[in-house]
Amino acid sequence: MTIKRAVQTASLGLFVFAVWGLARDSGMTGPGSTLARFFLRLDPVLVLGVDIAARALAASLWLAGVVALSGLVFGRAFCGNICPMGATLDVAGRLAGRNRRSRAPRDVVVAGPGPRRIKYLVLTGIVACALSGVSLVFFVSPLALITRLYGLFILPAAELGARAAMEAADPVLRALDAHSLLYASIPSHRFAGQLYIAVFFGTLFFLARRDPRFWCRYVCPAGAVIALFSRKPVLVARRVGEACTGCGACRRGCPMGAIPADPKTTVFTECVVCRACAGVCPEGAVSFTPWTAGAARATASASPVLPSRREFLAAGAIGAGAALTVLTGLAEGSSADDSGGRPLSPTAVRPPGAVPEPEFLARCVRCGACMRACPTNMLQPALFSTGVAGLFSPLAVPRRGGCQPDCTACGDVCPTGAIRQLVPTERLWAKTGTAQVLRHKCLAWEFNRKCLVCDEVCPYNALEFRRAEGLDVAVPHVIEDKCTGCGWCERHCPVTAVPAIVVEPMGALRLADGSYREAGQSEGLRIERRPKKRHIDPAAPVRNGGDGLPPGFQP
Amino acid sequence: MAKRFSPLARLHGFEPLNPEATGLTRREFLKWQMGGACALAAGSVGLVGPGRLLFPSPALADGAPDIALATGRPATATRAAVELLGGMAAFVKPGQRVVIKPNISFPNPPEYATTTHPEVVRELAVMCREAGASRVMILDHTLYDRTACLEQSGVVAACESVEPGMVQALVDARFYREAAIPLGVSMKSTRVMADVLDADVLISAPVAKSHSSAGVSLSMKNLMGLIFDRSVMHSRHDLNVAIVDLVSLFRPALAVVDATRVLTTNGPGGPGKVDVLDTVIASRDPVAADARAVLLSEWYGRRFEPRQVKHIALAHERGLGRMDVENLRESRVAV
Repeated sequence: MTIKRAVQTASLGLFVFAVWGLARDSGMTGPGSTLARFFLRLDPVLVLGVDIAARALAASLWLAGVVALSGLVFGRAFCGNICPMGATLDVAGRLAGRNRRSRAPRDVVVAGPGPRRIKYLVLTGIVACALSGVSLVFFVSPLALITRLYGLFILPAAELGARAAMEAADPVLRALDAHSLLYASIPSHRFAGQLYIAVFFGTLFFLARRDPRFWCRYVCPAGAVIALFSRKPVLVARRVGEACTGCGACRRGCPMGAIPADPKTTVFTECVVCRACAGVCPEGAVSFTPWTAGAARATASASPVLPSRREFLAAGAIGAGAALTVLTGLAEGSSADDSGGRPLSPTAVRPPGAVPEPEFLARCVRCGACMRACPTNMLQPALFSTGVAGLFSPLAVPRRGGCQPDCTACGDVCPTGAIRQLVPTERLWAKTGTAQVLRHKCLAWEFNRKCLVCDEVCPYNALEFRRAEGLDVAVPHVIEDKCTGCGWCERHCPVTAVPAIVVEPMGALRLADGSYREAGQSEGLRIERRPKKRHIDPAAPVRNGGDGLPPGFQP
Repeated sequence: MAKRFSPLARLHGFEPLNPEATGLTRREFLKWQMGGACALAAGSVGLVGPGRLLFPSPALADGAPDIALATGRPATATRAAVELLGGMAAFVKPGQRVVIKPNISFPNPPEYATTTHPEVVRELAVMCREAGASRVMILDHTLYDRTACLEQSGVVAACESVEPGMVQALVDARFYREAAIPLGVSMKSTRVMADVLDADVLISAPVAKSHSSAGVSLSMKNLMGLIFDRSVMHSRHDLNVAIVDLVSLFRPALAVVDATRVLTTNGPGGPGKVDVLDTVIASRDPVAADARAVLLSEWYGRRFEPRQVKHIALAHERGLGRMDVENLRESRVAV
């Protein structure tokens, strides 16, 4: 139990550190993203689902393979000791308290198929869906779900609390004039769709009151993968010595309900090696030792029944059906066929370096790492604007923040290559869309008011102010082949509600491989951050207006 | 040069001031500064010119020019320009809290002339310290990502050795307080940096650049970086009127316009044509400093009168300063 506590605490601590470190203002982006990627790639169902759906084997597959095969040696020790989802459920269970009036534990091995087989059916459905080319792993991948919980919900909430504390402490800090604390800028990450995260995990935590680790027992497909290999764990098998009086304390203490009516036996596909049973046994009769060691052999109870063949087929059919639902949907964007008047959601501005939409949706596991990492909080989870298949996928929302020209954070942290990792020279050319001036809302165009904020903030000089007939002020024009869709104009447009300049995914470069720069140049783009050398160009454009005056001057 | 420069004489009013021709050679200026250094060694307070020793500051202020122009490297020119006005001690008393407002709103290096030169900012901070300021902060509300602006403008790196943490880009609402603008014509109140409200002295230290909405962005336009909601200046108010409203609120004690490089086209963001003028303009009157900067440089390849910049003309009309620089006393120095 103490070993388990220590390992689990360390693992959860590392994981939270990693997710916290994803954000650039943490100053720990490097180790944070490496660690977060490592954790996410531990999830066999995540990696398997993505690789099957995207029809490409990632080099990192071996890591998930190691975890899956760890069942042969350690049983489901991963679930009980490493998995941050399991650790969070344990913590939540401890905080919420068990339901004391719960009935006696139900027998793990019941006649006929029990609810524990559901996790195998979930796994089957996900794999069938992936085989059909659609990834729905994000609904059930424990590592993706838990990364999202911490990255988009818990840590932003903690930051909110820290801000409130700083505000309360302001008079003291001012008196001390401690610059580093007084001016500390605590990020305020905000995300769309918090209610979904709250409801989902609220439900899980509530169910954990009734059945501890409800998720791990009945639903988790990653646990199911490991369980498939956990029938006879070689190294850490639970064994019960002769001292056992059959009191059943271990049965009642087991959070997984992995001990059958005969407490000397163990259902190894359910045991997560948390050692709770060893801790509660009054006789000290329980130990976790190698399968073959000692006189008393570890005894595997008959495992809970796997789903029947008919159920497997049904689950597979449901998975394939889900894939068909997505593939034939109008708004989903999962189909490779993007021609034929197919409407593209105007909000579907993806992060720079996002691979083509069908592959992007197959690869993206909705872990929220990119959203956590995005320094301007521009990346937000999609709710339903890109269909069911696009649920929680990252969208660029410029009104919240623009995309920084030098920033490659989202691609750097993406665990599955849904967003490509780009070098700065390539990054510049990863055009995500094009800005458009809505003249009927523009202060200059519609209201004849002096405003040039869009030009002021454009990092690419993609806006040009020209004099227009009948107007006293210069008016903005977007130079499409210089615009990268970064959205700084939209972010800062002073017009409220719908801004007067908006970024749409029009003209976005989405490449599965190859150079963005070459592709952009061959399309005639003229993207340029700013001149490389000091700009002393006598022939610099003089934007004369009709009255011969440069913008801003009066006769 | 027939008449030799004598700061003492000028401060006493012995020498008639010719706004066009009070040139100082580098050697002469250094000698003049040496005098100040000796005075300091002799037990005076603050590093100031000899005039400071003989007369208290009001007399000094009376004798000081209205506008000071110094040419040279950014740091030395900055110091020279302020010294011509009587030194920083004329503006900052021992124990006072100072806020310096440079323009560091763009994540560009100094050569793009979209931000104040780091050496200009640093020198001002050092001078404030020498004058005995108890607290010197260099603050801006950056348009772009604060970290990028702080790093790429080079201002943090330059000022770190003066005092770590003295340069801050304040983008959180918690650093701002609502303040009334009693003399505001269009903008009657706005949220202002609490540090500025609590400060004794405000120094506006912009870079000289063109601005496609306001014509030029100088020490008055620079004040926009001290408020929280910049965008209402464009959307709810006439920008030029609102700039002048801010001047009426802030009344900076000293304006130091960094014209070492001037972005003469495509401002405020650039890239545009950058002219290297190696000049720093200082004045207690921000309107005069801005007017002088308009005359100093060409803009879009042409020459303009200060009145052709609407917010300068408005500020003059509202009595917040003078744009008729031809009627003001001006001193120049080359260092």
